[in-house]
Amino acid sequence: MNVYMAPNGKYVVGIQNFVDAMTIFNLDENKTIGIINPDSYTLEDIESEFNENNISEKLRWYNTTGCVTDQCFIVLKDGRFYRDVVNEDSETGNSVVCKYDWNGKLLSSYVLNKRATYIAYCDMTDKLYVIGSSNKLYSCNLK
Amino acid sequence: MKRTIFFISVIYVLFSSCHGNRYYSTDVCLLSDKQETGDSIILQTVNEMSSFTRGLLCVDNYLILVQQNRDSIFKIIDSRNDSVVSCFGKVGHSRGEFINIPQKVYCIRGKDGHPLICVQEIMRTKIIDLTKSIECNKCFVKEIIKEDKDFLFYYTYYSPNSSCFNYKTISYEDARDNVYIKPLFYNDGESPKEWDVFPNIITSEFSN
Repeated sequence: MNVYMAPNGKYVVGIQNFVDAMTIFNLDENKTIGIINPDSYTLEDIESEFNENNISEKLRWYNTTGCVTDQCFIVLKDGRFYRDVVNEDSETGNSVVCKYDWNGKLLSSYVLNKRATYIAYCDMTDKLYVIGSSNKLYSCNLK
Repeated sequence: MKRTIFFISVIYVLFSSCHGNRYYSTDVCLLSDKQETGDSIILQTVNEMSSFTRGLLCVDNYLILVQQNRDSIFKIIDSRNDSVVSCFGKVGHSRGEFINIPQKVYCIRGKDGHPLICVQEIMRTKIIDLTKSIECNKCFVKEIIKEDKDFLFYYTYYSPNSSCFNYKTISYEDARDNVYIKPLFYNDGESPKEWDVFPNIITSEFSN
């Protein structure tokens, strides 16, 4: 799980990697918001259906990383099977980024033309920065 | 009519019950929207890094790269023109140096609104004044907070209002596969609070 706190200290988001779920902690209101992909397997499914023989066939790498601002957070999504992720270090392929507000509302999503490993978002310039697998720094404007 | 209301109530409870899940429990539970394919974006190359990048952060107009470089850990880029404005931070043992290349780095804004970089090290967090560090081209550590928690299994996030959010990952007593651990989330400070987001650990054959 990757955990990020907004610079204003009011929100934290925990992004799970192997289950497609994100948890927002609203520290001002002492409230948690869960965002779950209904198509993802759940922890209950892992308990009842996963075993040593089938885990490499079933386990998915849903979310790679994320970044936060005071207004929003962005998740770098993957969704491939984990066995394919660990054997792949090429930038070839696409990445999907999803931008949420701190109430858990999906604001926008974009398909990037490279496979990314790290992201950061500057909300003053609307620029998304991306580090690709080959350690190059890229940027784009989120419209 | 009463029967209709009863069935609607039952359906509502069923649909809203995911926050009462046995293994995952939040105050509000939202189902994420179907992933419609969004706009396609072609990334533009900004820079080819000479050092391996270990982390990427943004605060205000600054992009902060955490580099695998013992003499220049932080590279700061101005997001308005993508130019490098400063490099600072070394591996070492003085106040403005770090025991190793930091892995736990995050940004907050101080009470005066200035951006700060927080670096969690073994048993302490160093808080770097970003503006002053850029001005001096040298790591300016504003404050060092001593920790009483195990660095390896805790992530500690200090917020501008002086409270502290903790995420405990795993302990030696709970040496299970990463997928199956039960993380803990709690807030220190004037009004301590613990969130039981994962009330139970699943019991699969992996947990034995």
